[in-house]
Amino acid sequence: MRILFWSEGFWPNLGGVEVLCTGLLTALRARGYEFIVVTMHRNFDLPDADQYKGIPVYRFPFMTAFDAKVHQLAEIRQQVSRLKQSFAPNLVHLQMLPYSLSGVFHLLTAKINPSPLLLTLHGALKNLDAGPETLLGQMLRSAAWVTANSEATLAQARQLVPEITHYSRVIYNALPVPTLAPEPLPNDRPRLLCLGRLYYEKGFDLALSALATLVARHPRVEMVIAGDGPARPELERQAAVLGLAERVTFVGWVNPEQVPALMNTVTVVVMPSRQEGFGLVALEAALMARPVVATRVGGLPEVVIHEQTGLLVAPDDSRGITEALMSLLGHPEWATQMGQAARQRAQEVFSWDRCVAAYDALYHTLIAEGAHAHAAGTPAPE
Amino acid sequence: MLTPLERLRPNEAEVAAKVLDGEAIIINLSNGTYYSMDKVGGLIWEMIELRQSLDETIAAITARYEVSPERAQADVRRLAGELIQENLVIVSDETTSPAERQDEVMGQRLPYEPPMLNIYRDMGDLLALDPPMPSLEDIPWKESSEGPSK
Repeated sequence: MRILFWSEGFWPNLGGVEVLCTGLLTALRARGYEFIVVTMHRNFDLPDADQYKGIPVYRFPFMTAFDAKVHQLAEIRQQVSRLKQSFAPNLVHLQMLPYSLSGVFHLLTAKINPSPLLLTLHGALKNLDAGPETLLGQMLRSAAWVTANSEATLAQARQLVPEITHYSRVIYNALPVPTLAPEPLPNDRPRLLCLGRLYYEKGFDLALSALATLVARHPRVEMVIAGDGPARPELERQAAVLGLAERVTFVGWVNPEQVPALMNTVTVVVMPSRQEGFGLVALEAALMARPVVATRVGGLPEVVIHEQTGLLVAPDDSRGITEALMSLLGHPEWATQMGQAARQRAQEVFSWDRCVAAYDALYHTLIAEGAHAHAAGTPAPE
Repeated sequence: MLTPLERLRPNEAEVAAKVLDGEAIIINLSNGTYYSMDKVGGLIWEMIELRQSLDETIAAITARYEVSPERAQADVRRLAGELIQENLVIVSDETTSPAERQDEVMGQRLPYEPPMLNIYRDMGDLLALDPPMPSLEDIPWKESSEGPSK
């Protein structure tokens, strides 16, 4: 069975969606599916046609075309149309972030190959318009099935387009348990980790502010900021202004394979996100038995259970982050217990095998029932 | 009310459009709204670009598609009204067709579907949400397509 897997973010770009998608593709291919990937050029030094572990990858310059270049839009529509004609997918599985405009090219070519659409929502949809004359609204309404990476994301989608309620469900993001075993939390010289794309929504500026207050109580504390992005210069400046330059290390991007080893070197993972669909880093932390301090936004409260696997704080509250970190660093045994509880829960609730099996079952159902699966109200297999 | 001999023309000051493979993609540059029309709709936009009158447009449609002139006329008028309302076209003051065209004579006419103007009003808003991406230069994942082990 042929699946056209559509994700604007894909290897070698880095992010939660990218890490999840590459894992899913290889796991589902092992279950007999044939994939091609449609993705977006973020950088023109990558080829239009590529391969990821033998899976064909087609990159399109979606974003430059949206810069009101209507000729390029028409040409991309034509190329996507031809790709659909030649591959003749049995299912289109589209990963949608709120800003996934490329979905319009799926809609523009939907008649070319009337295969069902599985839409997976990865991010917060709050405050967006999803009326019948919007891309978001048409994507949600044209899907044969909608999955969301958290209850929070699903609730927002259902609020925007209530009719999807009977053809939507949560499939939690998941990751395989790393082969590397977790090591004890380093408490003598506490290390905090912020991991992710460096942009405003991740709130790493709040973590730096919290660190500045924390040093009075924990003078040996350090922070690692891993990732890169447009906010990096400002964060580096902030660290210097706060007198934290010696304590904060910016290590740039970390290969996903190296994340478990990085987790083993830290005491607490800090996620001060201003918005977050799921928060895959919280899961990466849990799998390495690290407690997390996170904000109560999006899906994070579903990944981090307050006072069981980490501590939750209000968004945009650096003081709250400081207090949470003081609690954890001041009670190392509690922090260790939380990390272990997080690892155990992660293996149960965010089981990789269950996630792969859920998509496998959904693929089977949708392909078998064709484009009108939702019209019959067929429940998706749990 | 449009008369059968009246012509429309694209509102070129505010609109960018392209027809490829019979599908029209139209952008209203003043508000960032995107539009698309396929098949009959795409043909109608081509006729508008050629400054054809409504009557000439209807003749082209009935020559190519399995549809009565009355039905085609009703659909063309409805769509023309929508295009005017969306400020994508304006009524042309030209009285004669600038381009003589020969309607394609089809051996067998194609099945007819009423033309639809698909509208995507949120493109500008969604575009503004797209977070800036860092350069790929430092991303270690580029090293091999072996990718992550997980």
